[in-house]
Amino acid sequence: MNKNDIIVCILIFILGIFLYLFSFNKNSGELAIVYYDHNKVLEIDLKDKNKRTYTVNGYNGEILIETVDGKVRVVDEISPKHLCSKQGFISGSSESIICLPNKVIIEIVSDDVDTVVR
Amino acid sequence: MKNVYKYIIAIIVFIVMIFMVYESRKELNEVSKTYFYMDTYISVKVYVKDNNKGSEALNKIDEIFEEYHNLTNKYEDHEKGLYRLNKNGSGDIDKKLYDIIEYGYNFYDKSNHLLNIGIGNVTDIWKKYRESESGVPSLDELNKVNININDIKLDNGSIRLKNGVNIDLGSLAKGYATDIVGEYLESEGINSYVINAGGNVLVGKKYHSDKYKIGIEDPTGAVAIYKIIKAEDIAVVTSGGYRRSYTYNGVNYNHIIDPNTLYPADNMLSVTVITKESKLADLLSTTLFLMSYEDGKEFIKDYDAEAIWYLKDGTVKMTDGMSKYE
Repeated sequence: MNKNDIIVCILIFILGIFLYLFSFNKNSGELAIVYYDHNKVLEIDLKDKNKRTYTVNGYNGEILIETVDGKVRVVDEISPKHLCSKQGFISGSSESIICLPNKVIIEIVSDDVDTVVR
Repeated sequence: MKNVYKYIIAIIVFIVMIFMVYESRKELNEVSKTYFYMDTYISVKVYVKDNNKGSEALNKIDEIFEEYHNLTNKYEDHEKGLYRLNKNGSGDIDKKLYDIIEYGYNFYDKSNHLLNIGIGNVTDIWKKYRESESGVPSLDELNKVNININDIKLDNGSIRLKNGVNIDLGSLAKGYATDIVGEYLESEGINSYVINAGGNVLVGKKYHSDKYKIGIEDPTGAVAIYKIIKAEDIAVVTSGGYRRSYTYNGVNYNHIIDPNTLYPADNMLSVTVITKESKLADLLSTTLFLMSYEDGKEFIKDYDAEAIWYLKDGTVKMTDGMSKYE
């Protein structure tokens, strides 16, 4: 092997290492997961800090969800006590909003952990 | 000509490397479902090649949790369940309920007489006060009821409750059901999973190159997670006074009652136990919550288990073996 071959080998090797590292360093951050009747219906990436609204169908009708700055809240829902919208914003990977009358659960999960013991 | 071959070989090596990277990235699919049983929010995630198989398993798990919810529920009347046993003092009970009661009953002596499943009459009184937030029961009121575990008579599948003693399975029902769900998944050939039943976590084999990262919630709420445990095939259970509690006249009263004082235990903010089985972790964490840190440190040495204490002054103590989960 001459000098050029060795350089090519080294370059390929370095490229391979980069590809490998990138494959394990993808999105680390938080997601808001919305469940309706125990099944996942929406996944929102909380890395997006802009104010956005989403609508999901609850048991009593539509539920309006807002995310901003890594936080999530229920803006409006059809339920007797409006407990979900009264709860306000949640943030951080051990919090959840449970809207029992609408069978909707919103939880924040972190890519950094698989689950949280409460 | 020779050079051309060399470059062809280099290109082949390159393609093989890309393929290997792609293979290493390919993970099993995550399928998840949430449930609401045993007064708690439960989530199960399974990692499978075949999504349909995952979904079917998650539906079956719904039935398992519902069955254990019905059998162990103290406040709802179900066929062959605990409500009826407590009310009638005897009668036909499900074999599964018998097994849970026997498991909890046998732990009483091992727990220095702290884990008493016969405490139901006292937890009923506390529940009433907690839900109405109307005050604190007097020692007189608490002393009037029977919590003598020896009044629970187990006999080959049938149980008799004497002198009005009343069973509460709050300290182990979730952990027990979690193990049953784990065993079911393993029997279906699903080895990678995360079960989280209100503070009772059970994980299977890792599904990618990393172990599971299990966060432990900070009982003070200062940060979301104060510690991360890295493990596979393990159960992690936390007992804490910060959930299911109420405040009256500036004093916080939690739901874990000391059978000696009949008042909520106040030794620490939370304690977490890590061991193979979720049902044992559940019993051990409640027992450690009822002991001082010093007593608990000695107590836990008899078990193949590790523990983390979050004490009232904010210090965190760990057993030496915790280092293997860093």
